[in-house]
Amino acid sequence: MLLLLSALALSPTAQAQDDSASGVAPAGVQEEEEVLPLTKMPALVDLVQAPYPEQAKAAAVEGSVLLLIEIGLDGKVSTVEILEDPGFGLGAAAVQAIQASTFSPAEDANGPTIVALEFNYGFVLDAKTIDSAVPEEPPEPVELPVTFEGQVLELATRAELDQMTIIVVGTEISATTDTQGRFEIRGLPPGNYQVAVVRPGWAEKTLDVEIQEGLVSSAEIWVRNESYGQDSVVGVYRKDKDEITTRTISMSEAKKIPGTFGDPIRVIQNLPGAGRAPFSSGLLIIRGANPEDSGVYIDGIRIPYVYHLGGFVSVINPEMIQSVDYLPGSYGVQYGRSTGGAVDVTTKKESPEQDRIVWSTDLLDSGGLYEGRLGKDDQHHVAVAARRSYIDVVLKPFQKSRPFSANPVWYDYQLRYSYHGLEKTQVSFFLFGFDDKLLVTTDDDIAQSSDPDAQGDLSTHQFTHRLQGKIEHAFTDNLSLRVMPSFGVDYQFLGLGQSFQLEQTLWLSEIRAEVPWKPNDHIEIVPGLDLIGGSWDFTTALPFNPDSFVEYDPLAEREDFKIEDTGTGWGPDLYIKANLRPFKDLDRLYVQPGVRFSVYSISDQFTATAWDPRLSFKGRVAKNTYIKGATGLYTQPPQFFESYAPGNTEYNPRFEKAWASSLGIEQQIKPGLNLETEGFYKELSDLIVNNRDFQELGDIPYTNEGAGEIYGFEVMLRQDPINNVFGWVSYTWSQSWRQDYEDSDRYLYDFDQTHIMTALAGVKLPYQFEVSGRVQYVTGTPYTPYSGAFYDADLDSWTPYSTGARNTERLGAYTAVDLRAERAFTFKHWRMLAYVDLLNVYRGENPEFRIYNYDYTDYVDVRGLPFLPSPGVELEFYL
Amino acid sequence: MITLTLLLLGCEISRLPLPSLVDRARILGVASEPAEPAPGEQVTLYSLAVDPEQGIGAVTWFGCVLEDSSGFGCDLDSEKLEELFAMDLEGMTQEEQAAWFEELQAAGFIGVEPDLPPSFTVPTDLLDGLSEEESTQGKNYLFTLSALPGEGSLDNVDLDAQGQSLAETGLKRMPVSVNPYPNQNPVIASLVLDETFDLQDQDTLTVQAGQTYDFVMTLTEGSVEAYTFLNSEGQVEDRIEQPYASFYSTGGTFYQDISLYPYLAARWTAPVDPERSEHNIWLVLRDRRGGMNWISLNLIVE
Repeated sequence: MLLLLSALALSPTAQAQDDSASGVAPAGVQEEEEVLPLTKMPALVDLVQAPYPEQAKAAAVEGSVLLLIEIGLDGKVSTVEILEDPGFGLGAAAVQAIQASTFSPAEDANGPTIVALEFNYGFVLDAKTIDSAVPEEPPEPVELPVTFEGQVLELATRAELDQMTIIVVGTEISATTDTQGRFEIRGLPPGNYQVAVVRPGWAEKTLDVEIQEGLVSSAEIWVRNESYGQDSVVGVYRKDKDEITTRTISMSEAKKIPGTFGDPIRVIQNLPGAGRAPFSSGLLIIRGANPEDSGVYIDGIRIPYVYHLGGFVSVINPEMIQSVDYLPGSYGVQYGRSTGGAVDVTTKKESPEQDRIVWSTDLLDSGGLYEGRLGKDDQHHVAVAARRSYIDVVLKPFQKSRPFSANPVWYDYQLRYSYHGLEKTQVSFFLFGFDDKLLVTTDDDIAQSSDPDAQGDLSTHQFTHRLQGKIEHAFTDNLSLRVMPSFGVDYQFLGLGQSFQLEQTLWLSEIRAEVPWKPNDHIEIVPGLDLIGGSWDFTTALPFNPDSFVEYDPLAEREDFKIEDTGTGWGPDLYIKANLRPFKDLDRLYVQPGVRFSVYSISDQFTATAWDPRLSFKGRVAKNTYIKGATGLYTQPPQFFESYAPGNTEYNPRFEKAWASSLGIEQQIKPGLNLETEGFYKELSDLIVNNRDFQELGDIPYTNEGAGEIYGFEVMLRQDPINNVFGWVSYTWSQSWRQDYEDSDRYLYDFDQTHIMTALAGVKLPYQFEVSGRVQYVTGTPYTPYSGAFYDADLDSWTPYSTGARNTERLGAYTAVDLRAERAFTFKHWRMLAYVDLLNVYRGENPEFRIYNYDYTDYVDVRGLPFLPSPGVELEFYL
Repeated sequence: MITLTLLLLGCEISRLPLPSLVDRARILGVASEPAEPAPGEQVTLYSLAVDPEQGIGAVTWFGCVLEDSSGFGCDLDSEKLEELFAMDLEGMTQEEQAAWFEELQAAGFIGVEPDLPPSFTVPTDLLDGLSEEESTQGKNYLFTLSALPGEGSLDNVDLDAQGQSLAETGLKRMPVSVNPYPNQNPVIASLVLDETFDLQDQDTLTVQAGQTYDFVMTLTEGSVEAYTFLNSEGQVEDRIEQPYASFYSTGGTFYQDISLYPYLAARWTAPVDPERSEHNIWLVLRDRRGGMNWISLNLIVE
């Protein structure tokens, strides 16, 4: 047997200094005293050998004990502390031995001094001892019996929940659920216990459990999700996710925002850059652009409008929506034919594991959805939804005393199928449609005006039906293909009485295709095709010849006028973009150059082309700070009605142009709290305006003489949904100017809204209550004041005139406070949400437009929605 | 929400003064006799101009051909007219006064009601240059007239800026043609109150405050004229006039202030106004081709 003493682990000087500085200075030494360097190191004079502990010897255990010892002025060890102990009695033996040992004291400039140092005391057996030692068998792990087991499930969805912690209250015993939500607790002695199931974001569940000798207790525990659904985050606001900014608002957040009626698409009206739609019309006013200059897409395929009549309900069931990409500007070349913003609604492609039925009813409409999986292999996912309004029925009693009655009716439907049985290919189809009708009627003996051609019912009707497909195939890990064909029809009708009718039908075929090639993590090349083509027919019926409007004569005999025509057109656009991440740290810099070639061709009329180069970047300049910017050209072909010039073969309109640039910063202030600001400038040119020289049909109706500019900045401070609270404040300052002709004055555009501020927040309360609120302030709409009016005795009406410039005054600002309160009721197989949206609680006047009296000497501002409580209920059944 | 919007719209509009309520100087009707003269024909002009507060002191008339007009009526040479009106007539000889008046007419002046009833001769060359078909269809001659508040005479009219701001100015077109069947002013045959009382122009009625009354207008046979129209494809179309009536009052309310032929009916509720018992109702008929006629009623509200 050999006892081995190790060397000093650290130099005494260094050790003494370190310990002093760290507050473990030797006794008698004041911390505040100056520590002098040692002039003499302590030396071992007499080391006492420790007896080898029998336990260690029997187990043939060797090792060293790390000690912290203090050597006094007399060289004796005054205190000992075990820092590391291999066990088997070695520690205690080492302490005894070192306390009996002697050192020569350390010295500094003042003579002997107390020091502390680490000391390794080693124990080594000789070979004989090792050979004779009887190795101790490691103790057999004792498999305690399962005394309590069970499974944790989510209420309503019946989802099996993993990572849920089960705690036996009053003990240190706990368990965690596996991927099937199952857990086991072992070795719990017989008795009564309280068990708690906990996980952040979930309602804590406790239950009493009795453990009996020899029996296994079990429980099926149902818990309720109280988080904002981050596990199933659905993007609602994501500036182009492949590009300079990605930001997400969860679907659960979106549905809590008052005034949105639970519609995630309406959430974008609360985000920076989005203007307020007048009269809740749902018009998309993005960064001061004309609503028709912004595109709305469903899965990349453009649709004519996104909201039903009145603008409160989007044309697609919210439960079918996966995400909504809101692109106020600086988006990539995959989006074209627009100089304004873009909104791309992505639909779900998968059904949840549990089939479910959702039914929702509110003041405006009712609708249902079923989604689930067909067959036993879960490869066929389907969803079907439909919705119809009944506001016409609800409001009928309120119209009895009115000289007119309005009957708006809308419906929409969606059918989705996706196949998930192929390893490298995904196939899905989406059939959807929406239909909006409005009929305003009066009794026959009620004169609507003095004009006989204005008598009769006013009716509008528009519908869209689309069948879309999406095929995604991965050829290799680096090369894939996305093809999205679409076919459908858009129809619009406007009629007033028998004489005035506009009717238009568009049969559209579209194909989007992309072939992303990503040879490595630093580069991705995406060439694409965005082809649209189709045929159109329209009928315009007027009670007068439009030529007569040049010299308006109310006494002239009118002649019914009708134009009917058909034609075809197409636009095979091509684009290519690159996603470049040049640094090893891929997040450090991202650059996306791209170019788009656009064609707009109306058969037998004209063909126009445009090149759109675009560049955007985003770079990290500090740990939580990003700078982003973009510049590029955005072009837009003439609108359909601007493309038609009957009897004129010289008409050749060009694309409208917008050179748009932006620069911004994203800053994470702290986890969950983010600040973003972005400035933008857009120069508009070649805008299509009325031809001032138009005299009669056959003349060129429009010219590309218009110009303008839009500039401003946006700020958004957002609190992510953490600790049951979410919210944001967004502010946009912008100016939108137009100049119709080179020699005319420029004016603030009709949709200019200089200040747009939105603040909203939501909080979850106990007992499944939740409240949220929103405050909005928007600058009033510009208008042109009248200077006077002139009486026309033949018409018995007044014609106003203006002597000032256009849009020199504004209506009053829009201010609104909206609230929402809801209560959820969650059961094992279903849940119910009852809510009420309280719109315009503040009862702001909110002038939407101005109506003058008969001779323009007086006016009233037609206010927006009054205080309006809108209750609703949503039921969700899991099958 | 469209419905809600329309309902709100109706609420807001109801706060505005209605065109049927006459509470200031107004021109309610303008007519010529004949309604559709031929070139060279003598025309007499009439207006229904009212002001419930002061009465109408004068209605000035000016005329012009289509080429000298805009959408707001005749483009008058205001400087020339001011110069002519500023001249001292008393110092002029008869010849000079005649020359002055000719110069005034050349500047567009036609007359001043009631002191100088407006009438004039349609220029003989008005339709020169038009084809036979176009001459048959006709061409408009325009009048610009201003109703100036005052008590029955031009002498009582306040001609300063404040007075002019109270004036009502309007535009009237008069078709001129060589149509062998020119348009006629419609003729009101009767105005029946509550299906019982046959009313005549300028009648005085006693009505009960807050009470509702029904007026029904009937036209003489032939007032709703049949006529032909040569359309742009050279085809002759047979057409029938579609007259309508407009209703005005100094108090009370009309359920509808316009009524289309064949209804031509008005439901009126008498005002409840203890401070004013005398009111007026005017019913003006237009045939949409320039022809016009009207009836005035005096009301005593008890």
